[in-house]
Amino acid sequence: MTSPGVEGSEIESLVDAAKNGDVGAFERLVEIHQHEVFGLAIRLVGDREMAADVAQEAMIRAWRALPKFRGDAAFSTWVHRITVNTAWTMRSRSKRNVADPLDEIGDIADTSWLTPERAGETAMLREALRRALDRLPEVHRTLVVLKDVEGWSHGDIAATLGISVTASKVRLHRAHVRLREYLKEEM
Amino acid sequence: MNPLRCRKVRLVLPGYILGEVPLGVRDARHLEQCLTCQAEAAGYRILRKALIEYRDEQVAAPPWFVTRVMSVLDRPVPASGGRARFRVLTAVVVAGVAVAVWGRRRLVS
Repeated sequence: MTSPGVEGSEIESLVDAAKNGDVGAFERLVEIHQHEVFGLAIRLVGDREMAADVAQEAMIRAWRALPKFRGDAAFSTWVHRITVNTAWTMRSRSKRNVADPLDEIGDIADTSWLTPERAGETAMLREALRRALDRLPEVHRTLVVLKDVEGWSHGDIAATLGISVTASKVRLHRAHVRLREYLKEEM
Repeated sequence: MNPLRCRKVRLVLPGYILGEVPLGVRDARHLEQCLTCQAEAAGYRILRKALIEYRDEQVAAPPWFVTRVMSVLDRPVPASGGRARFRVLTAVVVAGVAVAVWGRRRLVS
């Protein structure tokens, strides 16, 4: 969960400065981590507008909790955990449905390296997976996103979601079985 | 086709295809021969591919994101606010006691 192009020592300096109330340092941290935090949020909640709210709320919570940040984990890991908890809280609070999937592909990075056939196949697969993920129960979606997309360990997932490692593994298995079925239906 | 083996293989297929659990020798042999289990495995391979494509997708935050976050944060450090308030309160109490002691001494003298 590192930030490409930014040295770890720079992040540490910025975190130290932000802990002492340097708003400019925190702004730089937000700039550095905004895309990964927003990316995680949109994968967790499936809706662009809500993802922006989740990512913003996560950053605010991070700012407020900064004095308690001891640096046991990397700053980005810590912010990602806050994002997961924020998404969890906000999604369970909200009754909103998922937006039109076409809205979700507005900011995809350069795909010009893909051939038209490959790009079409990739877009089709991603869209089908998005629709399949939207049909999963929240806990299953969170597990798939954290394990299969973000690459978290079951230990980290269990600690963040407040479940056992075994529960994390069992639920992920169920999520995979369901997701395979849904993906088949959506393609 | 061995229904019991099919059931066992299908239990481990998601973990095997998605990269967590190795497949036992007997299960692997069964998978090579059983068309039903192969079809099941193909579904998980497509899921794996879809997850990889989904993971590799770069998502950008909206251009206004940083400005919006910072507009909410444009105030004193919230987390250290409690400590700061405690320090101010302590200073006020200490100053009050000092003034009271000083005033009393002045009256006595």
